Amino acid sequence: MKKPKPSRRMAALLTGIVLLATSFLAQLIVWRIRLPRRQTPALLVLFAIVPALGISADLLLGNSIPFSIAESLRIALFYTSFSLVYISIYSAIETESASLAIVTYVASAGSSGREDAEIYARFGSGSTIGQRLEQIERSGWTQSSGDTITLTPQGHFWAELFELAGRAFGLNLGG
Amino acid sequence: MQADWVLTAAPLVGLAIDCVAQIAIAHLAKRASFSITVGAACGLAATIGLVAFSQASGTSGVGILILDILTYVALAFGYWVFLNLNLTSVRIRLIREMLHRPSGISREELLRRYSAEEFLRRRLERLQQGSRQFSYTDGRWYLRKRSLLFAALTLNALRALIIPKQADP
Repeated sequence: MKKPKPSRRMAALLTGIVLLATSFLAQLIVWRIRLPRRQTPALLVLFAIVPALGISADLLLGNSIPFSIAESLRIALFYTSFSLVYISIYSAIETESASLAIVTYVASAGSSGREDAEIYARFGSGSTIGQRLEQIERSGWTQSSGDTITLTPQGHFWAELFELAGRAFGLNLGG
Repeated sequence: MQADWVLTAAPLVGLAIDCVAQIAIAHLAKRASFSITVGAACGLAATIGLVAFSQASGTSGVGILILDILTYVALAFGYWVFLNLNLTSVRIRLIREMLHRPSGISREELLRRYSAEEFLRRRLERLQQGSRQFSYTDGRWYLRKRSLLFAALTLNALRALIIPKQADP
């Protein structure tokens, strides 16, 4: 079997990294021009468009794709998996997670730590559940009738799916 | 040629082995965190094994080894995010609870059961007993591990870089 040249062995990795860096740079530029109202869907679109534009531009300039089908799929898998990881952690970038805020707060006290009362005074107020219920209802998963909340058919579908996943993956209820 | 396709499939095979091992261990050992760690390690071993197999046939190189391992790590992280959603998401917990109560749940009951204090108590419990980030002595909380602090500082830095200041809430 013919061995690939050392430079070619690194080419797939470098192409994947360059594609990710370009998409990230494009996000920085777009976010500075106008911050999207719904950032996660915008990010999904952006990370899908950038490599497509890059490949189209390359082909229009008369260059051919220098990778085999197997190598191209490898790069696509690398790019897609890292893009999805980035998009999945983006919600924690967009809004600070409560657990991480608590960790930062306790760490800021150094070796003296934080008292129960200090932590409860700072993080133990507000209506977190109220916000969650509103979000679920906005998604169309629940409906309210007076004080009672029930699942919609769509919510029932997702609940069944998560219940099945919870049982299959051996996971307890969250929250 | 065949080895080239083995290399392409290696991270996906690693992910499949991660899932199977995690599910098997979760059911046998009944420990979610342990099953996730062991599953990820099994998947990583499988990925490295397949890359090493291709290396023997001369197709592989350092670049491809790094590419495949990084791809597996990203896929395994995605799987961990999915599992973590089931473990920690309040929204998923709520709809799963509603599934067992076809007549519905009253808002008043939920507000009583999931007060902000209750949320905080659960979070502190997870930080202390689950991920062991905190220790609790004589009514005071202390940082025990720095991994989540590192994550928080990284996310804060990314937030400052990505989200323009004027748009920050």
